[in-house]
Amino acid sequence: MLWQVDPRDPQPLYQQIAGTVRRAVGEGTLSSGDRLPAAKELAASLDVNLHTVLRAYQMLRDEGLIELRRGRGAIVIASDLGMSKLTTLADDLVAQAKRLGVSRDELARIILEGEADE
Amino acid sequence: MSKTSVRQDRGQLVVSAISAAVIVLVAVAGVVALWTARDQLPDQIATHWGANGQADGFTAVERIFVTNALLGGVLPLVLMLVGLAMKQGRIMGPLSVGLAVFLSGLGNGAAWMQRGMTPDEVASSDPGWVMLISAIAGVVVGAALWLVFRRTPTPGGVAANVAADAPRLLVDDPVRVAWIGHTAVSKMVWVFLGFGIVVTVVPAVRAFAAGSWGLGIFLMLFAALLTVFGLAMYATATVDARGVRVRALGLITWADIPLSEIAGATVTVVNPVGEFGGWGRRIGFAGEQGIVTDAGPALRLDRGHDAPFVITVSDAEAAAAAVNTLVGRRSTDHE
Repeated sequence: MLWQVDPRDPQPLYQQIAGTVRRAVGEGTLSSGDRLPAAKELAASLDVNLHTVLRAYQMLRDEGLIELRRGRGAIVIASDLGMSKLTTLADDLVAQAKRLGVSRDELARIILEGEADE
Repeated sequence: MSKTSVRQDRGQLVVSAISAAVIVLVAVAGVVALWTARDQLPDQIATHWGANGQADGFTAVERIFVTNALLGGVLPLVLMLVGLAMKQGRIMGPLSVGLAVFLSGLGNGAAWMQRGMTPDEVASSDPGWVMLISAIAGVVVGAALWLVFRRTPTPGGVAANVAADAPRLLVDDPVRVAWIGHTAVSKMVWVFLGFGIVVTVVPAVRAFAAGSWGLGIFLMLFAALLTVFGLAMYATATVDARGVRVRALGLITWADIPLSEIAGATVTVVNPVGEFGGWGRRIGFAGEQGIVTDAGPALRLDRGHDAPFVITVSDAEAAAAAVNTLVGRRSTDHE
């Protein structure tokens, strides 16, 4: 699968890497049982620090999207697609807000107003 | 373009010529060594052994020297010429030398071993150790020559030449791009692997049971190599700013092509048997090289100074897009 990180993006690199995995799971490119690249390899390929990839993988593990096993690497377990999709959307939302210069408080207000309108 | 093809031809011509010289040297040296023992050789020399370990094929002593010279010299020379005709001299030259070392070692070694034997001793002679040692020597010599003669990256690399309709990614230059996937492996590979293991391990067990340790170890090593290379058909392919790599089991590198050696990538459809004569690390009938593990779409890398390289990966389209995007950036690099 394709991996991309944009150093100009205000979103931290580890968030971008985690986002790539979430999107791939959401789109079905990755499914349960698939193995993610070894963190060392992915870090070298994207020219990022090893800890950046490890941080992304740990975040995905905490979300329940992947399993980290010593010696076996990172394996997709993809139990909760809905939650990971929401996290992806939220990441995109925050990134877009940053680009537009919208503060976190303003963004929160927009979300809350949207909720009130329903 | 004409300049680079001349260079390429000269390189493989040099490798083939050196290989031919080494083959002749090995074949002559083997026969001469055996010639020094001609007075001690039996009249009928065992040259073939049956499944029961008993010799069942014999060659008259006056013909053994010609037979061994043909087997250890002419056969590898033919292989070397076929490789040259296929424009694969850099690989096939060292391979032919390895074969010459193995065949000369086996033919002359097995005859040498029968010095001073009675006909009964000849019939129950065991060429196992000779076979094992010759095989190891052949692999070592062939691998050493391959290491010496393999193509080194061209200084300055090759010019990017990406077709207008070739897949590309829509990303800005600062975006770092990588594609990581794996080879698609045909069920036939596993069938052949299982079959290959059975037909080497069963005779190996029989050889051990018959007390022929050399032959048993030779067959077990062969089975082990077969297993490793068979399992390595399932390999990880990586495309990134450094180039394209195909690795398996953490120990076998099928391909490691620097980005500077790649002119562009396309997606092609591969027929392993029809175009490459089988599965694995292949040289195709049309001169393409590749790691071919399944029928279907494959990533095809066009290399300026070398034959195109084909890799049967899952999602070849995305892999080609990543290669072309990275190659396209190279021409804008100012480093």
